[in-house]
Amino acid sequence: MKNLAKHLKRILGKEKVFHTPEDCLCYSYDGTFKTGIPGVVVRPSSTEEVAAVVKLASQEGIPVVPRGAGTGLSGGAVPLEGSLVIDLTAMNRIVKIDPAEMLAVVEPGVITAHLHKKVENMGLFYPPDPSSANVSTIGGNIAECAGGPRGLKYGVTRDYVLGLEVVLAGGEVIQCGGETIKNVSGYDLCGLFVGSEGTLGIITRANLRLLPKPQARQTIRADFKTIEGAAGTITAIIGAGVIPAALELMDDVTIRCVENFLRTGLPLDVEAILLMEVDGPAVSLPGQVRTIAALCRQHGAARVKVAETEAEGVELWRARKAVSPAVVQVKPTKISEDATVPRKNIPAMIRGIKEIARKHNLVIAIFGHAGDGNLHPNILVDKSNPEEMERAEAAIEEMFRLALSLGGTLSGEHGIGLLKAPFLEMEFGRAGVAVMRRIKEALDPPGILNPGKIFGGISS
Amino acid sequence: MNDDVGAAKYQINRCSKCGSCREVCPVFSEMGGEPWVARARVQLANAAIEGQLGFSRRFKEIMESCLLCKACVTHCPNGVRVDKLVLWARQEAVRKQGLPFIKKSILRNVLRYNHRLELFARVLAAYRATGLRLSKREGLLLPARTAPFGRLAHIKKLEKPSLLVAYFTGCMTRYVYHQTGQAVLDVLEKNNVQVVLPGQYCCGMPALAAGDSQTVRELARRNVESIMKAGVDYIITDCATCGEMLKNYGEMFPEDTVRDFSNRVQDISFFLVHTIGTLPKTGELPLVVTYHDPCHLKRGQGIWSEPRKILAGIPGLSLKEMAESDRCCGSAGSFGLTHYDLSMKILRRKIENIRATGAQAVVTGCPSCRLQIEYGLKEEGIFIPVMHTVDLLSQVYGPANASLSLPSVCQRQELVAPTANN
Repeated sequence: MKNLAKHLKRILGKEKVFHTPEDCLCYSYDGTFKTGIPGVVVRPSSTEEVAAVVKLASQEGIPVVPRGAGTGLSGGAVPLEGSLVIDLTAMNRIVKIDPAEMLAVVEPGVITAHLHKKVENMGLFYPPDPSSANVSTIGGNIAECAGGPRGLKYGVTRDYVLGLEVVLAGGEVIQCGGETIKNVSGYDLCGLFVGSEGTLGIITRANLRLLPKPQARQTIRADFKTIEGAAGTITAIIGAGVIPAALELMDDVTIRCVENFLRTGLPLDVEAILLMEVDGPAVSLPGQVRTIAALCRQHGAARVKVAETEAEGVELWRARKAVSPAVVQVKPTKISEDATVPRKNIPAMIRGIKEIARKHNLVIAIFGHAGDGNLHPNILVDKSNPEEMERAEAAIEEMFRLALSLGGTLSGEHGIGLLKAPFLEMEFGRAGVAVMRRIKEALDPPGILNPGKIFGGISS
Repeated sequence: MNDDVGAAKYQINRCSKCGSCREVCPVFSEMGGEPWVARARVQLANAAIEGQLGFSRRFKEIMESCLLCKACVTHCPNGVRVDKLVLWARQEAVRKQGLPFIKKSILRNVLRYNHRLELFARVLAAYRATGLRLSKREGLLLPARTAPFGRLAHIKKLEKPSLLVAYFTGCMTRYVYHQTGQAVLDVLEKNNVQVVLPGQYCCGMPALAAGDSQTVRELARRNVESIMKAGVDYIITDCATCGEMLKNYGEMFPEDTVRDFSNRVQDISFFLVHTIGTLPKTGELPLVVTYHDPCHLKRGQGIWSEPRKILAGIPGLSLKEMAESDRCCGSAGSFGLTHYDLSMKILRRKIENIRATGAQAVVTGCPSCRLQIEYGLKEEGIFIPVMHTVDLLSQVYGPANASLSLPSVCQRQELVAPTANN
């Protein structure tokens, strides 16, 4: 490892290579409870440097783990012991924003919220908004195909990637896609790399599609006595041709946690709260809001609140934004899952999760992006209690089975990473996973790129 | 104190490693690498407790590069007390390996003795008077006075005072910002509050930050003993850092007298707004100012609306808020000297935020921040004064209808250019 560090220093300069035990420990984790201590860490500042590092790693047969902000929730950036971590956050330039082409060209280390702010100041809009957007990087968002509340109306990261520059396992640099919306030349390699979790190549630049920034937005909150009432409302709203920019659900456990934390007067006698936001031209809002409010009442909403001012909107959102700090007041560790089902099956999913919680004697707060079926059951545990962690793991497996039986998927937006790797065959069968494996082997014959992720098989 | 491994483990266990601290840590935003962010310091502390890592040079380097500004603590969804973990790590390092010679000499042989501190200040003052500049860092050395404030101050005996308070002057006011000390005395006198100046020592924050719990204990003991003898209703300070430290004595040394002492400590702005209420003003100050929230005041003591209320009550004065008003200025006690380049990078952002307001003066509630910001403004060629909230307030208690101009409220007039920068 010392020798490798010496080589790396020759390539990058010594200020970009770190290999003390202390530095390596600081790169041993992401947003999950998994850890693995790398052997050396580099912080390159250009595609050429990344390519040179990967080339050296492939010659030496050293596993390479690319990393953004390390906020992932599936273990995608947790290093294999002794591997080489490439921290891409020093490559954080927004290369250009072209309003005429509605295009942003960025390096992978750009922080998602910085891009949001920059383009919104120009009247443009980059919709993907994972809840970690204030710190997460575009590179990490692409590698995990991040989503967020706006997914229902605007789609996910995949829908905004027009082109990529990728460093392959041997150190070669390729371009995929391009700068145009339409591009059907050859295979869709861009689509292949989005969500590939660093197992196929390392993204060093991205061309992102932008939209015009919506002129106005308005928030509505509705409280429901039953989950079924809330779920019926969701399908009715979408059936009526209104697509909210956000459609968030909080279940009774979540509501209680938030109310205990904020004391803002949330109803404690309801099973669900829906928080909805519509956006678009200002003239279109009143109509959208009227339709939604009417449908909420038709489906038995106990209360419907429409924010008349921006401040009222912020107040309504405050409860949703407080969920993370609120739930950890119960137990210090939250395991956030993101199994996703077709939206018509949300009631069955929620009832099923509650049954699992009862069976394993766990507190599970359910909230999330109900509009696209992407719920976040958060298991509240204490990681220092191994017995409780065991029950949590059993519950997670049952939740996965439940989601799949309801026509859903293991992961809506967090990725498979390390945590869900053992279950991938449950979703796609042996043959389905074998196809993915063959793709991996074709692009990364030595198997040095983020080993163990998606496919598992390597304990970290 | 922080030597409780159990307490440290409790904090560590609460960290979910979500990485939110990456958004707010001033040190991390300059350094960029993961080791420099709060989340990493938590994991390093954990590794030290588990015996996975020793207190190596790199370990200490990372722990020592924390400003203790608590930006991460307030921002953390789980409220992890990263500051306490960092202090724990520093203290453990000292306990295991001892203090480095220079730190030890200053903390144990100067800080604990007022006459030595005074001598130190005099030597500094004399050195500065020679005009010698051996290093660019000197701008951050105290522009020390030759005599401590307490010896020069004249306190009037009030006939029927409403309250009796002890004024804890703090080293910065004692040796540097005498005018702020005078302003505190004036304002309290006008409000019919009797002030006494009992014997007092350094609050101990420099020792705490250096991990020297032995000196902290000694200084706390001396301060509590001396001040409690005076039998006062409250203990007032104009220094955000001293205020936070004195309030923390009670938690660090949970004895009844010490708790009682800590409960009586109030920052001057809090005291004026909540405990006595300020008097009607007679003067007017037609100024546009901006306010810098000291870490130890806003996050350390929850005081941020009080100074703004005082400013809002000053006739003619308007407050133009700067962006990130509560972001650390990079001073953090001796951090500016030990981590000069990093401190300057953090300061530059503060100065840019100040410049963008176009304010005619900067107001703050901490003498350390004041010294740092004065230095930063001077380096950038921005000639506007930096003042304590109380400096401004004392001006409008003056004779009726006195309209004051900028230079007359500015303590260090040499900083004011002939044409005030707008």
